[in-house]
Amino acid sequence: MKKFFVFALALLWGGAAAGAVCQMEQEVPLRLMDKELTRSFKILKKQKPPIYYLSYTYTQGEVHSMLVAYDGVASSKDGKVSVAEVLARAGSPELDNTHALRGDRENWSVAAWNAPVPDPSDPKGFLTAWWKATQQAAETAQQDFSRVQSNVRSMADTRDKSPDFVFPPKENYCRTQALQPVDLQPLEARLKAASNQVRGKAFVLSASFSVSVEQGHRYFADSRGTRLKTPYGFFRLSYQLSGRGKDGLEISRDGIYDVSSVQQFPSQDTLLADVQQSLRELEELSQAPEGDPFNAPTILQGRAAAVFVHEVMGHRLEGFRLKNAGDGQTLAGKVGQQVISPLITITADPTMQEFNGEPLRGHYEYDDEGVKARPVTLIENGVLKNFLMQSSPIEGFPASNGHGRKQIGRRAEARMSVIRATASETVPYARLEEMLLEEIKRQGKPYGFIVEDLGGGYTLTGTGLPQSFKLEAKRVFKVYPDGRKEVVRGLDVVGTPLVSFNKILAAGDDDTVFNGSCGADSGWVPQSNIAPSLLFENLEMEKTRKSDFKPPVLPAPDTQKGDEK
Amino acid sequence: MKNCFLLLLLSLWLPLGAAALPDNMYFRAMNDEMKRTQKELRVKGSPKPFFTAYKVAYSTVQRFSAQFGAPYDSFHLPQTNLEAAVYIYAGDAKQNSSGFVNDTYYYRPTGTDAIPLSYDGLRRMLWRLTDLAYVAASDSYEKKEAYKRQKNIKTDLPDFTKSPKAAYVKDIPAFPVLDAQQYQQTVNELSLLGKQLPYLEHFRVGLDVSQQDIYFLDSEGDFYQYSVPSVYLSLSAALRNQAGYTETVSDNVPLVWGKALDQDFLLEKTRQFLARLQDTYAAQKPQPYLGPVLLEPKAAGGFFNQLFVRNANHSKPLLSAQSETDGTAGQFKDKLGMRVMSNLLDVYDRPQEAFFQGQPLQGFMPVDDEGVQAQPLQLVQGGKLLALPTVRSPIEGQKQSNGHARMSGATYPRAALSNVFFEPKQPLSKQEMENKLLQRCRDLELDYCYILPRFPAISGGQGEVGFGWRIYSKDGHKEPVYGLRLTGVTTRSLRDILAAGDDAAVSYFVDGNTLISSSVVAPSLVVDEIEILPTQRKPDRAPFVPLP
Repeated sequence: MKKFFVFALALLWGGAAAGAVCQMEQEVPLRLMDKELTRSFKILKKQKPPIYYLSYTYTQGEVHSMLVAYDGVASSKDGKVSVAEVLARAGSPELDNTHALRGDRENWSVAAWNAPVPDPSDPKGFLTAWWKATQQAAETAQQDFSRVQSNVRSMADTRDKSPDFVFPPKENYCRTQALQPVDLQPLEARLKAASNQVRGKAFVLSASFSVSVEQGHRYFADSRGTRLKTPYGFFRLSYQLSGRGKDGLEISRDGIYDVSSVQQFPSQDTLLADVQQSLRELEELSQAPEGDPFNAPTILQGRAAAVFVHEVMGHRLEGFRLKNAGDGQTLAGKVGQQVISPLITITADPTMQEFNGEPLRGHYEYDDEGVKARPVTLIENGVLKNFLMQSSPIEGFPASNGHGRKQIGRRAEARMSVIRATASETVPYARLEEMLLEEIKRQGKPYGFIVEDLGGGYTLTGTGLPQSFKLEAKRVFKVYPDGRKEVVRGLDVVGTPLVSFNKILAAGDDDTVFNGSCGADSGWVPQSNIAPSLLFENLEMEKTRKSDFKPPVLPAPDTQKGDEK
Repeated sequence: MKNCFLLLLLSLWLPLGAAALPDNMYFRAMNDEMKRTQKELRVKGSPKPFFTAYKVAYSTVQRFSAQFGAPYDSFHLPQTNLEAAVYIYAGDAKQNSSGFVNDTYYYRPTGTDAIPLSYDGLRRMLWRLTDLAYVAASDSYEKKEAYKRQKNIKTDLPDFTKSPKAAYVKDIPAFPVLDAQQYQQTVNELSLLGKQLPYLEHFRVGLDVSQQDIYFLDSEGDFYQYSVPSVYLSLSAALRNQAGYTETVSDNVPLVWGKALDQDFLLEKTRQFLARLQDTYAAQKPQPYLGPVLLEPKAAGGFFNQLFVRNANHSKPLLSAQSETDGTAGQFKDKLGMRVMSNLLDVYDRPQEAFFQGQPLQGFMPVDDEGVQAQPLQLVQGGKLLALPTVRSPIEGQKQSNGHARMSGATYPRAALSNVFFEPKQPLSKQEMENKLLQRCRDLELDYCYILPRFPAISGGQGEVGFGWRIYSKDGHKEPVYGLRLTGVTTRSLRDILAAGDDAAVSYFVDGNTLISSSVVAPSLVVDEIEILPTQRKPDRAPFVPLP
């Protein structure tokens, strides 16, 4: 079973829009990486089995973060990032050490060799660190390749006989961007003021308010001659409020602001107003009745629809899954066929930097395999056209389309970037709600649902379990035929992908961005989803998992009468 | 280069005299929540909270680190963390929830870190932790009683004994923030020395300065407040020795408080470490050996920690439904009055001592974690075991707590030693110790004996140490040796001590299970018989590509 989570409170990966072209030969890290990579590869390619491809990635930057709650700073960090990663491929492009082992998932969880390295200001330490990481990566690749050879000989054939690797085209690109001066201290008062809004609210069990900045440059060099330097910058302010009912059911509301600079973080007035609104929603949820399992016409509002597209269809469009015998391969053999409602088109476009002024954390210029980012139409009017591809071909798709992605320390796989669902026809959102009522009446249902917010969840893609999904409906309304709405808690949206995506009847004109981080086989990657509100003929709701614990015996100290500070 | 910022810290380390509950944010939050807990925290049908304790620690760390002259993994601005642990004994003095493992693996309080640094933040967290601690204690109480009935366990000893009120307060000094540029430059320069040895695969030098401010309050009104400072020079390196074995060598040099940033001293320690690396590179493989060994002070500290301290700790075994025996209980629990070690040394535990030769003692504890004044103990006299550390839950032969209940985020309070001093009656000089070793070596007609600078972690009587010296009986010359596998090491070795030096040094230890810190102050030792075998490790293949 694989689980995928869109975790909204992770750090922001924002695109660096500006910046200046730089001279590759003046970039000390790249020069040193080139020197050690060239020296090593000359020897490694002659080993048995040969290391036929070698790549170095160096991330150099800084991180700043602050977490505040209840008028106090819980943590505050300012640090440097200087991490080297080495990927070695042993064998040949047709069969190498990354080949998925049948009956053994271990191969896929092998980390790429990575280590913090000293600043390149002194070449000795920097070069020695690369040398050591290269030795370890090469040794591991050779050992893994032996296991692959044995596995291929003894286990059943796979359906897809594509090679394990296709050499990425040679690229040379150098762009630098001055790091923004970051001082989080002025934000401390803003976050503390926001945290004080929670004081005296008995329905809030915990609250946190955080700000984080990550910025720097990524350097990439490989044995085919690609040399890259690209900037990155992530700026996020967020908060999360949560509570728990006597029945153990947990509720939460959150707020997220992804911006391009420290100056763009929300003002105190905006933040306080949003926190107040979230508190009202949380209080409403705390008093709401528990929903019952039911299958009914449903609207997923923009943010919920964006999460739905990501979880339910997006992961099934990741090309590497079609090669893996252990995956359900929902879309295998369906290229050119209608797989979802003809109303819907789904694209992936990592070159998009922002949408309606909101930065997109799924943007990048080159992927983690050094392949240039490019837009891809995955499903057009319901017809499957393409997959998200890394440099590992699948049948009919021989090259990467710039979607090889990973977190530091993992091996890249085809992952989502900026995923966008659009509809060939849209209606104003108010009309979509009218259509929902009409559908409820047409089906003779006592009520339908409007899901305002979907949280984390999971999609099962392995063959050992049903190809289904289960997503937490964090804020959902029952909608009665007369238009009355009632907020309920404790429901999850469940179903199977092909059925549910074919139940889309209409779409709104209210495209909404959901920025998150997605965790899967190649680790956590920053990611964006854009979708309009969607009306489904029906979606199934079931009960969510509850905590084993009751709320605390005593009320929170700041909510008890007579308890003085 | 001399700096006196740490002296300023030292000067603030003064007792306040009569102890009143300090008026600060930590105690206000703890006291307010404690009063509410005592008055109101009840669940119908469950045992009431009988004894509650809060322990709060605020840590500050600043680190400067460099590799071959370049900055590496430093954090120049101090990093802080506020953490808390809460435990409750539910029931009453005769029988309560303490001493029972209610989980397959853990016997630990509820706790958390990254607590907001404010009254509201701490108070809220104490409220939640107290609630969880009460749930856990109520559950433990019921299961413990059921287990005692099932196993027909009956005892006249109560689960909890009274103790006079205890308090200790020291002012908390401000953390001395170091100048980032200056100290980064210092470690950069020290780490440049690594370039002198071309075979090093890494060479890191770090300067770690930290301070932990600790606050404790229990439901009987006992409390303490003090601060634990520490400064280390951390050195680490990796190399492939001439036989092809990859050796990782590291050392944390505790720096004398107040002299921490004397650059000449740092340089001397770094050079000593480099000399050790040269010896490691040139070291030879050992042959099987059985005979006397000289343990240098740090090795003697490890020897005593493994064989004495661990066996004196946890004198009362825990009850557990999962296991009939408590594997963490020390072997000395049944040996009061028996001979446990050589009569050449007496052994003391001194929890109230904060420094030894200027270095902070990690076991410093004026009041223990059950609110009992920590008492100094003479543990061994003339080789006989006189006392064991005890807590409020008594054992046969010691029916009162002697103030040695020690807790951490990983364990409820358990009986454990703090600062253990091994004091020889007739200490010998360094030369006399070597002479004693060589004489014993000749008596046994051995060509050589061993000197070990470190003692390994022992498991099942075995442990491996990466480096030592052979010393030849004929002329006293020394040769470095790698891969020494000690075998058959038991508490018997404590009775085989032939001599002890006048070079006592402090070593720090953290128990891997309980995360309790302690200090051992021990001199070098000659132990009559230790068996050494060559390592069973295999050498690594030569690197594909030579070092750059």
